[in-house]
Amino acid sequence: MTKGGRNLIVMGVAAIVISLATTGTALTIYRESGDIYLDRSRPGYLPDEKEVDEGDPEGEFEFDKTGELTEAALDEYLDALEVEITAIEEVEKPFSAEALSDEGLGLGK
Amino acid sequence: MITGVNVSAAPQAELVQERCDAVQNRLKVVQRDDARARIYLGRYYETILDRFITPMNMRLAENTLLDVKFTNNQNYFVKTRESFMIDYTQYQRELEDLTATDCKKEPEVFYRKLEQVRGWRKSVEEDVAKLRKLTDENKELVTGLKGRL
Repeated sequence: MTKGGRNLIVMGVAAIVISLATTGTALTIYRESGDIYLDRSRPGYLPDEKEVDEGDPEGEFEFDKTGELTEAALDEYLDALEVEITAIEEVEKPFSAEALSDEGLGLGK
Repeated sequence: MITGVNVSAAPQAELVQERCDAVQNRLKVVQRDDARARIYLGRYYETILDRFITPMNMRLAENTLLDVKFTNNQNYFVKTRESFMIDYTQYQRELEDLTATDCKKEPEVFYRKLEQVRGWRKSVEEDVAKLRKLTDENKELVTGLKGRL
């Protein structure tokens, strides 16, 4: 084998080792950071059609950081905040105990 | 056959073994629903912090109206949101470990892990309740400002 051929093989192996190391590191970070539990692209976690059709739930309101504070500005803030609160209330009993209770899991007698 | 089991947990462990498949399916549904709730609520609470509470406090400071109640509200909101993210991650980790446990071969281990997962879920529930309370508190503080302008 020529020197060039050997060097090519060494480079190829090194590239594979480096790829495996960086991929392994990325997956470890992905898991350890908790991002894996927020990844809606995972099988079984894909958004429903209903969720995809909904408009941007964040809306566009952002309270101005500067400017005089008037009653009108406060009313605007409170009205927009109420929209967010209403959206939050659509999630019924988030993380309540019932889902993992014996009854909830079908372990009730 | 179940052996070496704490007597009080034995009936549940038997039920776990009998209904293992149904329980595992139910846990997968819970995992998926929780992910959805976490993203949905996380997004709204991030919006409330970044687009409401923080800019309001900056504007209050500019108008020399900022008082300690507003800053405390913001600080507690930030801490509770972080706590929510940390507790949720740990809860999901434990839940994933639970679903990976063979409930037919190790029903007592499965049930013990289930009880731990319940504890973590309760922490997440409490964090969400606190965030809701802090949001309501912020609303009250801003409403109270109206009479003072």
